[in-house]
Amino acid sequence: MDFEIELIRRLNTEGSKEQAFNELITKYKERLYWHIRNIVKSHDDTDDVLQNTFIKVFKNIHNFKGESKLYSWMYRIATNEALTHINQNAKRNHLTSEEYQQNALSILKADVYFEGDAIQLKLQQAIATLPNKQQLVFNMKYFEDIKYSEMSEILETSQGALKASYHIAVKKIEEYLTKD
Amino acid sequence: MKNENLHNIKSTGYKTPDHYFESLEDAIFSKLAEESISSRVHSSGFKVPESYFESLDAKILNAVDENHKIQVISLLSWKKVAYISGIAASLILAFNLFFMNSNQLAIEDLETASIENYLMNEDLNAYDIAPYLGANELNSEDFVENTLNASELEDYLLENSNVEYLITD
Repeated sequence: MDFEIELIRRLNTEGSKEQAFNELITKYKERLYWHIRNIVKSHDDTDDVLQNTFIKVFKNIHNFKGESKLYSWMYRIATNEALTHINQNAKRNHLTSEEYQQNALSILKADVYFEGDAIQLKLQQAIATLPNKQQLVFNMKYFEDIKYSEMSEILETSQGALKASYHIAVKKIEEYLTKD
Repeated sequence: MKNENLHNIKSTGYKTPDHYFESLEDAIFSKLAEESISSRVHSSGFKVPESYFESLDAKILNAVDENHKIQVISLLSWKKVAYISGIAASLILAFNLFFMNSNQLAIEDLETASIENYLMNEDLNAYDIAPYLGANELNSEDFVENTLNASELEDYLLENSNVEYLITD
């Protein structure tokens, strides 16, 4: 936490801003990458969204008031950017965001940056059947191992509601994977 | 004394989070379902290009730099362009109106509705219009065509005037 306060101070000081920003990227790039990748699926889209996320962080760091942790604030930006990206692309192709996600999955098979294992594809399909919020919660808990307390700050939802969402999500996915 | 107190302590002092036991079943079933999923699928299957993360820092810093530069050197901002094109457009319009407009509009070319709209919107009062009306164009029936029947008049008076006041006065 002290590290975070110090980092924020340096990010807001003209001389040390660049260096501090560099450290921030190094520290969070992989976590944020996987968070976004789980939402938008393709590597190229993730790369775009990740860069936009960091640019937004850089531009808006002076607005960060410290009501939440820097880490949850950045996750919130990344989540919003990723969801906006999906919605914009869906709109551009005259699709609903669900149709767009199904589309993204159907091309996943051919994606060089997807291992292409049949069961992994099935898991992604199972996730795509969930409502958006449950998808987010499932990915964050199952793949990213984020604690409920942190998730609660990022998604601005109570821990109880998150646990309930996860419980439903994990059940549905298990059912999807075990059927036929 | 100390020992006696020690014997009297019945609780450990440990506490659980709110609703911990109520949600424990759910938590355990979630864990079981989780294990069932992970026994089938080991990872999400997503991969990244080789040495993607190594080059990412530089890429983002570059993008931020570019973003900054674009903002700094934008001499011709959108606002300025809007002002300039606005001025240009009005100059062209003025030029067209004053010099190129050879065919003059006659009053006959105007639709009656347009004239009516103009009069309505100009907020003219009766005195502004009166000078243009000749005595021979006016007819006393223009003013008395609204006839009231007895029951309407009665209703009106009952609703809108203070009858008691009229009687006592």
